[in-house]
Amino acid sequence: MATLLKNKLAPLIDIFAKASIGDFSSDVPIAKKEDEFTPVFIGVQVMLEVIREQISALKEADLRKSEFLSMAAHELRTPLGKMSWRLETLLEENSQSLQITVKNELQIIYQNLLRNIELVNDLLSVSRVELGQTVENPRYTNIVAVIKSILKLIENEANKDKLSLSLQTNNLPKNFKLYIDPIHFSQVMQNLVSNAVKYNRRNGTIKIKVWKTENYLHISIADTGIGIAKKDQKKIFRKFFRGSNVSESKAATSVGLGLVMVKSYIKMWAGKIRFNSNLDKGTVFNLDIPLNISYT
Amino acid sequence: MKKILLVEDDSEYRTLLSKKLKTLGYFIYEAKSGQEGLQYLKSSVIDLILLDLVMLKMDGLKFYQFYKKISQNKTPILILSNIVLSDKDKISKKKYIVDYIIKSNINLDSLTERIKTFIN
Amino acid sequence: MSNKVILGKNDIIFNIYQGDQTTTTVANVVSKTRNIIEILRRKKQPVYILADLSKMGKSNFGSRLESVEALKTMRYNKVALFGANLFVKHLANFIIIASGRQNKIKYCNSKDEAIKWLLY
Repeated sequence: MATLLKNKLAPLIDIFAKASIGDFSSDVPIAKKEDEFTPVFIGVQVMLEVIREQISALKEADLRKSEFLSMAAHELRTPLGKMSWRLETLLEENSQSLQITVKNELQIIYQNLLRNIELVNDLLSVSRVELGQTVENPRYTNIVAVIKSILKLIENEANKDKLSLSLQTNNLPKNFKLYIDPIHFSQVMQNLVSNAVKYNRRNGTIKIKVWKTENYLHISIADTGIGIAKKDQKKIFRKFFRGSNVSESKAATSVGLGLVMVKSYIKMWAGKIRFNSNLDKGTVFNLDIPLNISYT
Repeated sequence: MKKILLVEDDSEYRTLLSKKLKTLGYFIYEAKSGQEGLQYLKSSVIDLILLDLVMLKMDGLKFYQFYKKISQNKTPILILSNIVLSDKDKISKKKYIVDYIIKSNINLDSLTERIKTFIN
Repeated sequence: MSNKVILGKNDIIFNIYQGDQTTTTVANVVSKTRNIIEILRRKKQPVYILADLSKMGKSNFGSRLESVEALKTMRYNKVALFGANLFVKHLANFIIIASGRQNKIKYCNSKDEAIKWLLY
């Protein structure tokens, strides 16, 4: 009797086994002859069909969100891109044919435009991560090389305030590579480094340290800048938040999304971001990124 | 003189870019759609194709499909678009596609520098 | 093939289901049925609904949800169902249970049995 029951229920066990790993594709065999088990078998089949429908609907919704984001990006970027190129061309024209005041005005407009483009890009990055739409393309990345190239990028800006930059790689092996999306990693570092430049004081310093422990890669970025007031420290990872001690001119050039984006990516990598700051003394940001980032 | 085929349906982008490239000594064929682009491709020798993706009359990806079928000597394609497709990396690695650049994220000077490297 | 709603003999409301069912196809039957229910109630007559499932095809999740909602909220005295194959018979039973109105809804093995139960 027990064996008969076991044999009878065996097909269901098979279905459950597949379902446990997310495979809902098999159908339940339903005997033409009705018995007490029929409603159970049919019930499981109905459940499978409902699950399949729900999964399909979710995938469809996901796809539409993705397409929306892409189109939004395109629509937002196009007018900005055109204005930017137009201004760039205009500003390169011989200054004799373009009055100095007009040129100055145009220069300001151009800077604002670049900020706006930055805003669009940051907004899209943050939205993508929040909607789970980010596509990570991890590769073995030489993260020290990435940091060095970012330092080169901000060199001009840093020189304006006579800032000294240093990079220490302590115990890191020479060709150390982290399996991570290089573009997203670069975005994170660029954000933190440009903050260190922007909110620094004249003749200040930016010290970057990279080291590893058994399971983590650690990066610290220390500046000697205006710092973050205690009352603001809880809010710095909020969208569009700017510190209360940031001057109006500096606030105008910042969007307030950089740290949000940084935190989103670090969270995605299952890493941690901490900081220590004192008003008028400076800020240190600490990143801990797992060496084995698990991509699900 | 090197010849560039610019496939871009936005007239402003087309004018801005072709003007800049002409001052640098390139000859520009301007195509308003993928269809027009194919015509130029069939009738002239082109050294580099600048291809937009979102166009009303035959978009960039369709153009690419047709392009693969015609002409023996393959002109390199530089994709210039403001849309970031989810399979951007896959597209960038496709045959004859040398890069995928987002127009609004690069200034004209840097773009012309990249074009110089690809056209040689 | 579309569903039909008819006021038949003995003022029973016939719901004849034909083909595959979706949220829309079921909603149409429900709204037509509700209109007739209004008329019967104004005349202070009892409401008996007879659902013929013999020509019904597949039903999607939405259609079942619609059915359960209707069975929960419509005002009727009795609903009888008949004509289904093995699978649909049990599925109908699940829907009856989900509606919470097991005392007012019954699956019958034939049309005659169904009418007898309704009018008894």
